Amino acid sequence: MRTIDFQNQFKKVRRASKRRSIQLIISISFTIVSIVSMTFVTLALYTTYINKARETAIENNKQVIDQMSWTLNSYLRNMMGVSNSMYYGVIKNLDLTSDSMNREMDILYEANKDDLISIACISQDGALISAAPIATRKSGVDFTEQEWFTSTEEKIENFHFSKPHVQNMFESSNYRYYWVVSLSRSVDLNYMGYTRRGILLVDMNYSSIEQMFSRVNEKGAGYVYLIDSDGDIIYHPKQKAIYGGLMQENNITAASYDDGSHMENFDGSERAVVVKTIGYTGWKIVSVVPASELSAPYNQLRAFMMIIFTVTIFLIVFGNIVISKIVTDPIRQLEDSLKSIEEGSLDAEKVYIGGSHEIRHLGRTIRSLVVQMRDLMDERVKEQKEKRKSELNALQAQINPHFLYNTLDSVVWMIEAEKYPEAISMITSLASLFRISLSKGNNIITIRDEITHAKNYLAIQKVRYKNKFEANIDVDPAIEDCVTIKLIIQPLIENAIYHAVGDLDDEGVIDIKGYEKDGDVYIEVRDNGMGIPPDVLEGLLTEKTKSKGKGSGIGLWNINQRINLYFKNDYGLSITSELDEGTVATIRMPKMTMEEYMGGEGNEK
Amino acid sequence: MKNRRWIMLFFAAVGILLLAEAIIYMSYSNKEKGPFTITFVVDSEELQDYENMKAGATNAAMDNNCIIDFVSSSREDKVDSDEVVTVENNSLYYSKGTLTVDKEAMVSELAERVIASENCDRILLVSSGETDKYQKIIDLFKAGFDEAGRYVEYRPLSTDEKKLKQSMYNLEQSGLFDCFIALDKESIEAACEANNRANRFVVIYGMDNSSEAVYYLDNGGLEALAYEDEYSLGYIAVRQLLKDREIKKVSENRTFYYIADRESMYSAELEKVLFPFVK
Repeated sequence: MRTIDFQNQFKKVRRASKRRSIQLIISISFTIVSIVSMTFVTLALYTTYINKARETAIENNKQVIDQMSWTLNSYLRNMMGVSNSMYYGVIKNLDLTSDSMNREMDILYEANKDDLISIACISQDGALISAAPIATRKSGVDFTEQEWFTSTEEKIENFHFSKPHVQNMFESSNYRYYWVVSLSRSVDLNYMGYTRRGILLVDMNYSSIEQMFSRVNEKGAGYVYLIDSDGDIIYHPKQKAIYGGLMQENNITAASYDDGSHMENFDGSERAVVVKTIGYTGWKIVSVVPASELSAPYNQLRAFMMIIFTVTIFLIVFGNIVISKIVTDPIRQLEDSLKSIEEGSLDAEKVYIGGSHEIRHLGRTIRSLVVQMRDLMDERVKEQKEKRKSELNALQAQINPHFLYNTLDSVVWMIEAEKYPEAISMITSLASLFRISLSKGNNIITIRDEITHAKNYLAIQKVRYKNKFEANIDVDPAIEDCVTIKLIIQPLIENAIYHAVGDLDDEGVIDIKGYEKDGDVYIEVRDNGMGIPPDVLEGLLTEKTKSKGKGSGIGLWNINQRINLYFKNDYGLSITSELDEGTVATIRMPKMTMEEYMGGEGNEK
Repeated sequence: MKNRRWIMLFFAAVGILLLAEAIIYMSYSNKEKGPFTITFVVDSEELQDYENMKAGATNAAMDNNCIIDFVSSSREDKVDSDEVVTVENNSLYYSKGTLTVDKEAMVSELAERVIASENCDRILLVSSGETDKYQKIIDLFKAGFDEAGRYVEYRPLSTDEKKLKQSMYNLEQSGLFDCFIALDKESIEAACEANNRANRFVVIYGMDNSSEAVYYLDNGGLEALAYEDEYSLGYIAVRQLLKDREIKKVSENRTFYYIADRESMYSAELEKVLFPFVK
């Protein structure tokens, strides 16, 4: 089920993506471009800034280390200076038997006691010759076994700097022990004119070194420590923890680094290491800063940038949606206008005109096209109507030749039978019939004229049919001046004679009635013939129904169409019939005088 | 009208977003401020006796924006810090657990040294004043020595310095005991001084962390010294409270004591333990 659902969802998304609207395209495109550009710029700036900040931090570190190196170097040189002063100024010039050595040593010690713990001169066999401050040698301590002694004996030409250690030479009465770094050198001692080798020992106060580094390690992240050329720690802020196995340091590796900055990975964290070598001693000052601390001051900046980034993205997305909506709304409204035109609404006022200059121009153009279309369509309809009218009028104007022949025949036999008054009457009626038929080419005549035409027709037909039927005309005088289409009553009478009463023996009746009802004019032609079967009645008002042999052939359809053409489709001809009882043809037209018809262009009837 | 609704919605959404971001930014900033404080409440008014522990704790707190403070138990009710470590009889109790010197092992190792010495058949355990904190040690010693067939006795001496020294002298002179195990600094000092004055030599062992005890070890007054590693106690406790995952491995199987003698006290391992850096 889950798979099917996923597939359906995917299909929905694909379908939706194909129905891309302009707004969607604009929104997404602009958003993607903006976000990509902004992300790129932000990342580039941020990375550059952070790297720069890192480099600056490392550079600052380097400067601190350089300063420390200079200070430590000065200190060590000072100590070496003390040793040189003692050696070249005192030991070389004096004999061991002289008392001056102790005095000179004291003076030198006093001058430098802030940085020194002691100065001592020891013979090659480990005997204490002289020391300042004066102290008792600790019993049981053999100088020749101490590291400073053995290293000096190994290389007599150099200064030797020991690792930090607790001074274990003299008795101490105040329970205090001093950490020292021993500076030792081989010296030539003068004893009663003989030269003997000895060792000059200057025990530097380790606290001086410790203070130097503590001051730097107090502030900031990271720390600085000091190692000798073998990597053994001389000073480390956590050296007790290191020696106690509580933590580790990468000092051995640091001893192999060249001077400068390095990045190392130790104990799972990345660190920036700056190394500086102290000249004579081979000691190295090592600064360690965790990589995370290098950019720690910028964590707030990072958070701030993320905030700005998310807010900006939100603004971009939202802004794009709003702007694209504002841009595409006029297009959408114009599209809606076109849809309504497609559906058939040709109201030019409903075509939207708005938005940008181009859209407004489009709207105006479409509106103009709609107006033209509507005008063209109206003209076409009008033309079609006129054409239809012409066709129908032409049809209508045809007179059944049989009627004329028969009428003229009737006139001939009347003349032959010397029935001159009857002949005159028939000719007069015929003339009147033709006159009204023509009506000077007018298609709209008064009901009075149309009834006169019907009367003339009836007069002729009654003679021809030897008064086989009776015709009654009852027209409300109030409607005689109303307009009607010419030649609509006579065809109905013709139908009634030919199809209804013509075959009856003196029993046929045709009633013609005209009246007004609900503002409309009704003209009924009623006969008492055989009636019309329902299936025939159904198709009577269709175009294809033709009169069977008799009549003018104009057809009931023609009458109905002409009424619809000249008046609205609400008006026209209707036929009702009852078999064996008769038929009623009813014409319905609007009640309108000639003046009303002639003055009412655009008359809604 | 419709656009105006969109615009209002837009500004409302921006306002909410900015508010949320501001809250996040300020809470992030808050995290940057204020150091993490750890207070050690000790069972003594002599705070200088805990310098080693303080050094270890301070070293552990370095570079972690953490402040260490030591107060005596009389001021415990005024303590207001993120974490409190209670120090009782050199055992540490805190939220992450407990750290204590393996006294059994320490006593056992020292007792072995004493037993190995040929001249220690009658052993006296001494302290200045009587206090419950030595009871466990005394019981362990007694059990160990009894098992080895040695005679052992405990005598709490006076807290007065003069009386203490005099008592010690008398005891050494008496010949009743040939080995003293001094359980505190005062008794160590008194025993070593008395040893210098007395006509007979008594073997003296000590259990203390003071520099005085180290001095007497160095000058031959003490045969051996049991030294509790308070530095490591303080260091490990603080690292655990600062959520250092690696420190657990370090602290496992750690005994937190050393037994030093004259030969080993200047070794690389013990030198840094016994001789804290003195400025």
